[in-house]
Amino acid sequence: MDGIASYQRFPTVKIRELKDDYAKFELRNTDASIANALRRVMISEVPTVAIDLVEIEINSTVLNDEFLAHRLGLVPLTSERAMSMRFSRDCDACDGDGQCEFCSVEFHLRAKCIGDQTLDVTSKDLYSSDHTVVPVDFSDASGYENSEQRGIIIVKLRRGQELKLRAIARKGIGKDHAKWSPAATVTFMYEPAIHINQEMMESLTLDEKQSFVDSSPTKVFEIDDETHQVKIVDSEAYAYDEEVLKKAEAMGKPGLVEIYAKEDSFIFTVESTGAVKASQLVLNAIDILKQKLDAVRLSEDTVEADDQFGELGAHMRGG
Amino acid sequence: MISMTINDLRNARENPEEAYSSTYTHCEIHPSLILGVCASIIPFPDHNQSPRNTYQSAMGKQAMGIYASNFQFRMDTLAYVLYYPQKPLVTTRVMEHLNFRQLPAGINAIVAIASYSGYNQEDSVIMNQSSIDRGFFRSISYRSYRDEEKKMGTLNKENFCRPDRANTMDMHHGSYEKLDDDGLASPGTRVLGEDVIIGKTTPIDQDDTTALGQAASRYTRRDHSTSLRHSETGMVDQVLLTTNADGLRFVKVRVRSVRVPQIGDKFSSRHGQKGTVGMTYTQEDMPWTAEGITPDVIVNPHAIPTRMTIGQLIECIMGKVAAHMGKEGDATPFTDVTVDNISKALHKCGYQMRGFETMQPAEGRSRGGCLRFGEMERDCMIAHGAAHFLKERLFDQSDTYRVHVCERCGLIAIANLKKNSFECRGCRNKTDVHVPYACKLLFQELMSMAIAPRMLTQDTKVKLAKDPRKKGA
Repeated sequence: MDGIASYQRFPTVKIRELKDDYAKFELRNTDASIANALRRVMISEVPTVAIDLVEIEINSTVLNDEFLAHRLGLVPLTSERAMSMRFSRDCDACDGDGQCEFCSVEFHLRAKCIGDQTLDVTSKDLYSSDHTVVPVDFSDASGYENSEQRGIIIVKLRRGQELKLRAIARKGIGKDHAKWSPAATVTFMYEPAIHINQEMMESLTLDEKQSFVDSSPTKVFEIDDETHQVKIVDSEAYAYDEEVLKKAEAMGKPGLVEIYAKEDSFIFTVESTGAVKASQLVLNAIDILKQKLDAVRLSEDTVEADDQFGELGAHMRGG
Repeated sequence: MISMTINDLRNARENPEEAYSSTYTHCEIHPSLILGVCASIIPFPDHNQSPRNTYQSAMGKQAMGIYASNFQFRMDTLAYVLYYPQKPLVTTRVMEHLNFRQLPAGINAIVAIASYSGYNQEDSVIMNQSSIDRGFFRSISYRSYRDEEKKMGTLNKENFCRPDRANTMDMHHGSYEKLDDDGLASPGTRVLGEDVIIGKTTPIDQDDTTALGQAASRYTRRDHSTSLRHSETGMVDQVLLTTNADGLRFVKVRVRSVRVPQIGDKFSSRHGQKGTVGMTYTQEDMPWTAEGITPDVIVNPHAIPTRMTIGQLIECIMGKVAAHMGKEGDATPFTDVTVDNISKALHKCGYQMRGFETMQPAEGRSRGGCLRFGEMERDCMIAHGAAHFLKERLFDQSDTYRVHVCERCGLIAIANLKKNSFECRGCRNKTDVHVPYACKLLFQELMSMAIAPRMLTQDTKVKLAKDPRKKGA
């Protein structure tokens, strides 16, 4: 190891915008492998709680039992507690029938339509045995009319139809089934660096400048009202579509703008399903990523690691 | 005569001299009405190669959706119903009259056209497992089994019951556990394999039992039960017990099962482009856009050029615009919707218009294109000995391209003309070579196959001569 320069880097995070279900932040001084690992973990390895077992007692609705079970599974449940819960497959305290405080939460649903009007059975009709794990409430998140927001519709009942069931929610991860994924959207892009060749730009007429500005489908450039110079309003609106570069080429002015991606700066956008807060989702993902790295590091002095990985085992220890 | 459009009719009335016919008696409602039911569902069929429309007209009949609004009350032998059918984003005007929006067949999928891992070769597709988990193309299949009690002679009659091994011969090896006292499996029972779902026995004629010998004498009945098809599983959905024309009991048992898309299932667009699922990937393994959108399906680009289903590509752009503007797109054939209009709308939504470019000259005078100077024309010029003219036509005026070649290894070097820097991994300097773009493309394609096409310039030769070790390069 001696004499080899250290490749250790110190990534920085700068938060741009933070809402309960939305986060936008910059990740700098690292490379795509780390950014992508974070993205993948957020989508598929941060645990949440979701309905996994449904016992149907009465179902005279138009949807059959399997259909309802599938719909119930997709209802997001508040899962702040999921990180400290156990997977029911490694729970010692129970035999997996769901009556266990460490690994499962019980729900009850009972609805019957008696009137002539169609009755909507929604996620708000699910009664939880644990007040920390309840169906996500979207009504107060934004300025919607609260009275109208009635949760996620599970099924609609007409007169005389009835639904009665017991459901058990368990901890799980998105890799096993998408219902356990806490992420609605996780994406990142390279931060674009845009340089305008102002000298060449000045050789254009105002009309040509305007058509250049308009050629970008997103609002990246703008013409200054006073100086009539083309300036950048929002470089991050650029979607790497290369439309402006093609326009410059078509105008016979290649090199009018230069755009390249900063390969060590990422802009992340994270949207949560509501199961955990977007900020918590990022933190949980980092924790899980660390745990995974620890699992590799901890195996360094075990013999099995060497047997298992051979030369690779030595390599991982930095040998 | 029948006029094709109302405009023809109006023009004929206004200037009869220029009209095509003076004896119009009728007018077509719309030219697209030459198409039948199946072809009317194809968006932009006027942009497709004609055999593709024929294929689609045959394949559209296999599509899954909701086949009848009373499917819950029907006891069809075999029926499939899609979990979440969607009305199409790209529609035709005839669809309105076919009530295709009310009873749709299919789902609007987000489709990427890409060679991804290689699991979508030869008309297979990659499907998003997370989408499948969320109910993408999930369906219910219903199968109904029927049976009736028949009269045997004047006194004996078959009857539905739970057969008893003690007195019944020829019993099936499947399970009889799931039968109720009435001899029928009740709704909500999970059934699989060769489970018996309708129990029925016939009395044995006592004369026959004696003929069968002592061993058979304990039997008084013979089993005639119906069991589930082997390899099928499901739930008993509904049981219908009624009487037939002769007043005898008659039963139908409907078994339902959920079908989730898996490897090997067939999917199709509306342009005769069918394929099977070759692999499913979870969301995080799928490619994604800057907005975080992952595709539901990845189809291989090789499925497009030879089939020439341009209508599918136009449908794609229109579908994207429709989704963004929250409107339906109109893809009725023989109307004046153009790709340009759709792309402009897409540009307004903040996306690139089409995103393709070509280095070869365009075709046709109207598009500022060229005339082909072909192989035989070339032979002619060679015969004339007009070498410079030949070079001008085939190279300078065609797709000339400048590459930088490493003097040492003869491979294409990385050049940054603005910074005046040239770089060849492991080697040194460079030299300028002008080659046709098609030639440069060929070289790069060869390099992708681990073949090194080295360009030996005069400078290189001098260097190679000095360094005899490198001669074999």
